[in-house]
Amino acid sequence: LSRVDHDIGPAADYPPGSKKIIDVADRSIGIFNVEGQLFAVLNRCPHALAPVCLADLTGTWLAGPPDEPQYGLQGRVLRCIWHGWEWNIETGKTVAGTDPRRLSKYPIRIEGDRVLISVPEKRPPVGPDTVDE
Amino acid sequence: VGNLIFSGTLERFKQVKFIFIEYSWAWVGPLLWRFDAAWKAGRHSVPWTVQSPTEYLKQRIRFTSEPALEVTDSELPHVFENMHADHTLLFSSDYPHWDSDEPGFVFRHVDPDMRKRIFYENAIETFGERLKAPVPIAG
Repeated sequence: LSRVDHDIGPAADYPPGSKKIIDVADRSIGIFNVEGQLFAVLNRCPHALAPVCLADLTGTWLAGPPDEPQYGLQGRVLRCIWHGWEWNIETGKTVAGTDPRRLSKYPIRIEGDRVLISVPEKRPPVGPDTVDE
Repeated sequence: VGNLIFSGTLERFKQVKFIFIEYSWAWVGPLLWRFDAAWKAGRHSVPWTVQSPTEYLKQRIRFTSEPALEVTDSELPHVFENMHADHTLLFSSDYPHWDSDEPGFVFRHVDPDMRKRIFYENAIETFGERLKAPVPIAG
C-alpha cells in the first residue's frame, strides 16, 4: 500500500500529556503525546466503531493472581467510552488479550519542528475488522 | 457459574473442577455470550479472571445431561456448539428416578463423534484414567 506523509503542524502543538483529535486524509485521528512519545490512532474502536479517542488515557488493573492485584500501564490505556474495551496505545492490542482485534495506528515522527504522520493513500472500507495501516 | 469464574475461585484452586449435576444445560451457551461480553468490557474489575469465561468453562466446568429431553432434536447441534458440549457435557441417567434418561434413547440422533464425547470421552478427561478401572461388584 502506498502511503502519504501529512504535515499536521508544529511539534509545539503536541506537548507531553496532550491529546488532539484532528481530521487528516478523510479520517479522524487522535494524536497522543505520552511522556514525549507520539502516537497516532484512528478514532474508531475496532469493537463497535465508537470514537475511541474521546477517551482519556488511563491505567488499569493488570491480569494476575487473585491475592495481588497490580495497577499498571499508567497513561497507556484507552478505555473505550462506549463498551469499556481497553486498548494498549503502545501495542494497539487489547490490554489482556481479551480479543484479537487491534487499533489502527499510523507511524508518526517529528522532522525539524513539524509533526508528520504516514497514512495509507487508500482508506479501507469501514468495519470493525478492517485495520487501516 | 458466574461466581466461580469472576470471583477468582478457579484461579485460587487451579486443580479443582466443578460439575453441575441436574441443573439442565440449554442455558449455558447464551450465558457464555453474556459472560464473554462482560469480561471484554469489564475485565479490569476482575483482573484475576485472566482468561475468557468460555475458556474457564471448557477447561474446568462440566454439566450432566439429565434432563436431556428439554431441547428439541433440531436445536441440539446449536445448543451443543454454543455450550462447547464436546468438552462440557457428561451423560447422566438420574436412575432410578421415574424421569431418568435412557442411554439408548436420549441423544440418539446426535452425531456419533459428539455422542462419544458426551457418553465417554468427556468423563475420562474430567475424572482421569481411573474411570477405566474395573468396578468391583458387590455380593
